[in-house]
Amino acid sequence: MELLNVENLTIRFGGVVAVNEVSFSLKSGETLGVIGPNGSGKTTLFNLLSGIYQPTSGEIVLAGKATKGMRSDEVFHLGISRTFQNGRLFWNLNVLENIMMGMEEVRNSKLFGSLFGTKKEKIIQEKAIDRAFEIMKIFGTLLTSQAHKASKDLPYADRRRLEICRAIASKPKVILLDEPSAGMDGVETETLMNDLIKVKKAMPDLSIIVVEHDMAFIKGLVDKVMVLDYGKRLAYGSFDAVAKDENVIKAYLGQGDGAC
Amino acid sequence: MIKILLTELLGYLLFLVFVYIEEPILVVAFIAAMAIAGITLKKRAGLLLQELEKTYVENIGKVGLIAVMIALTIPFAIMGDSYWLQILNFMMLNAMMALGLNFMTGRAGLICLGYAAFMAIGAYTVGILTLKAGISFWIALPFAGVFASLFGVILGLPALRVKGHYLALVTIAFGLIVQELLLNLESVTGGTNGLIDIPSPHFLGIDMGTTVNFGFMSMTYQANFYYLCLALLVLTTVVIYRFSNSLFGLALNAMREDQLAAQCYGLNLTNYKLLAFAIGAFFGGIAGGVYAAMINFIAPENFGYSLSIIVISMIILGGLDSIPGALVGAFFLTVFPEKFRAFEDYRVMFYGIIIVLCLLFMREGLLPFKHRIFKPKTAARGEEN
Ligand SMILES: Nc1ncnc2c1ncn2[C@@H]1O[C@H](COP(=O)(O)OP(=O)(O)OP(=O)(O)O)[C@@H](O)[C@H]1O
Ligand SMILES: [Mg+2]
Repeated sequence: MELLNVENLTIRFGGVVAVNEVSFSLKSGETLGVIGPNGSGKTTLFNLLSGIYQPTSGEIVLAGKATKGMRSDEVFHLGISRTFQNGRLFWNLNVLENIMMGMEEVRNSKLFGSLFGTKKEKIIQEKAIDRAFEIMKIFGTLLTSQAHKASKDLPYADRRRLEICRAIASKPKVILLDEPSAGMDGVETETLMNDLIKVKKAMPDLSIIVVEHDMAFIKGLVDKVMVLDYGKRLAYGSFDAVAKDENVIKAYLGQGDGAC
Repeated sequence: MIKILLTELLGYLLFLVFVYIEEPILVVAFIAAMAIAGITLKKRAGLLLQELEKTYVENIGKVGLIAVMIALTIPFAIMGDSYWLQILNFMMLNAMMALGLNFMTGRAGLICLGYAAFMAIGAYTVGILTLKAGISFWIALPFAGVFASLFGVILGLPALRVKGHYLALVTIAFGLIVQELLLNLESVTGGTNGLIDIPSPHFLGIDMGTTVNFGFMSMTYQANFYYLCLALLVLTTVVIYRFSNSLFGLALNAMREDQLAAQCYGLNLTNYKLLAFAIGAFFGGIAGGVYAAMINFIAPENFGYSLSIIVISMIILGGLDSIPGALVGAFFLTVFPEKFRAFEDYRVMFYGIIIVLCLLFMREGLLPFKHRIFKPKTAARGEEN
C-alpha cells in the first residue's frame, strides 16, 4: 500500500505552469529525493503538498484521504509536516518552544486549563518539555545545550537542525525537507545527511521527501529520485537509473558532472 | 524577599513625593533627577539591577502581592485626595485596557488601532443596562465584557483576511464605525448627548457614588472606585498572566512570529485570532463598564481614535508583550501628564512623541519581555549557579 499518492499534480500562476502533471508515490518509510535547477518547481510542489497552494488540477492522497480543499493546518493533522527553504522558525521563541510548537499537545491545550493552571495542564507541559529534549538528542548535545536560546541566535546549521526537530515532533507520516543543506559547507552537509540517516533509523516508518540541488549529497539517503525541470517530471526512479538518464544528463549539461 | 519589599517601598515613596510636589519646575527637576538616576544606575550598577530583575522575575507572585498590599494603603497615604484618586482610577482602567490590547497586539501580533471601541461597547452596555433597563451594575458589568468580546470577534472576522498595514487600517475603520453607530443610534445611545445620570453601583447597600463615613474619618467616593478598580486590575493581570504563560500563550506567540509557519504546524489561525481578539477585547469592555458607572456620564467623543492611540502608546512604552510593561506604561502615561495640565492641549502630541521616541531609541520598551514561557529545566538550574 502506498502512503502518499500524487497524481497529475498541476498548478498555474498566470502563464507559468510551475508544477506540470507531476505524479509520484511513496511508501511508508521510503525516502524520495527531488532535484532540479532553480525555478523548476520544487518548492511549489512542497507548497502544494502542505496545503499552502491549491492545485489547478490533479490530486494528492495521503493514507487514503484526498487533501483537496484542505488548509495547511488540516493537512498537517493528516500527517504531513515540512521545513522551509529559507528557514521559518519562530525566531523569538527559544529552541525548546520551537520544538514544542510541533507537538499536538500545544494545540489541544484547553483555555480552562490555562486559566486555572490545572494539574493536568502542568503534566502536559512537563511531558512536552521532556519529549522535546528526547527529539533534540537526535543531534547529540548540539541543540540540548542551546535549548534556552532564542532560535534567531542559533548558528546557521543549528537552525536547520532545529527545523528538522520541529518537523518530526508531531510524529508525522511524511516530512518535506526543502533544501535542508542550503547555506551549509561540504562538511556540514555530510553531517546533516548522516543525521538524517539517524532520524530514519529512529523513526523507521517515517517517509521523507527531500529537495536538494546536488544529487551527490542524497545518494546514500534516498530510495528513489525525481528530477523536475520547468515544472515537469523529467525522470523518476532509483538513484542509479536517474543518474544514467539521458534527459537528466542533458538538462544538467555543464553541471552534469556534479549531478552524479 | 526583603529586597523586593524595600525596592517596592522606595518606588512607593518616590511616587508619593511626586504626587505631593506642585511647582512645575520642581516636577520637571524631579523627573529629570529620576531619569538621570535611572541611567546612571544602569551604567554603574548594571549587575546589581540585573540581579534585582532576576529576583523579581523568580518571585513574581510575591512581587505582585506586596505591590497590592502597598496599593491598598494609597487612598490613606494621599489622605483621600479625590483628584489624585480619580487619576489613579483612570490609570487602573487604562492599565486594564493596556493589558487587553497587549494580549492582542503584543502576544498574538494582531495590531489594533481601534481599541477604544471596546471600551465604548463596555461603557454603553453598562450605561444602557443600568439606566434604561434598571439592571444591577454587577450583572451589567460581565455583559460589558462579553459584548466587547463579541465585537472583538466581529472585528476579527474581516481581520482574518488581512495582515500588517491592512489590518491596522481595518481596525481604525472599526473604531470609527463603532463611534458613528453610537452617534447615530440616538434612541438607544442618546446620540451626541450621550447617556446622562448613569446610576452608581451599590455595594453591600452602600451607594458607591457617595462619601463613606468610617466614624473617625470619611473617604471620598473616589476611594470606593479605587478599590473596585484595584480588584479588577488584579483579576485582569492574573487572567492575562495565566493565558500568556501557557501552551495557548505559546501558540499565540508562534502565530505572531510567523503565521504561515504556525499554520503549517497545525494552528487553526481563524480560531486563535478570534480568541485573541475576544480575550483582548473583554478587558476593554470591563474597563469601559466601570468607567460609565464611575463618571455617570458617557458620550461618543470619550472613545475616539485618540484614546486608541493613548493605549497603544502605553504598551509601546512599556514593551510589547510584557505584562509589567503594560502596567508601567499605563502608570507613567496617565500619571505624568497630570502634572502638566497647563499643556493639556498638547496631550495627544505628547503620546505621539512617546511613540516615535520609543520606536527610534527603545524598541523593546521600558520593561522588555525577555523571559520565555517555557525553559529547559537543566539550563535553568545551570543559570542559577
Ligand atoms: N506564488 C507564485 N506566484 C507566481 N509564480 C510563482 C509563485 N510561486 C512560484 N512561482 C514560480 O514558479 C516557478 C517555480 O518556483 P519554485 O520556487 O517552486 O522553484 P524551486 O525549484 O524551488 O527553485 P529554487 O531551487 O530556486 O528553490 C518559478 O518560475 C516561480 O517564479
Ligand atoms: Mg525552492
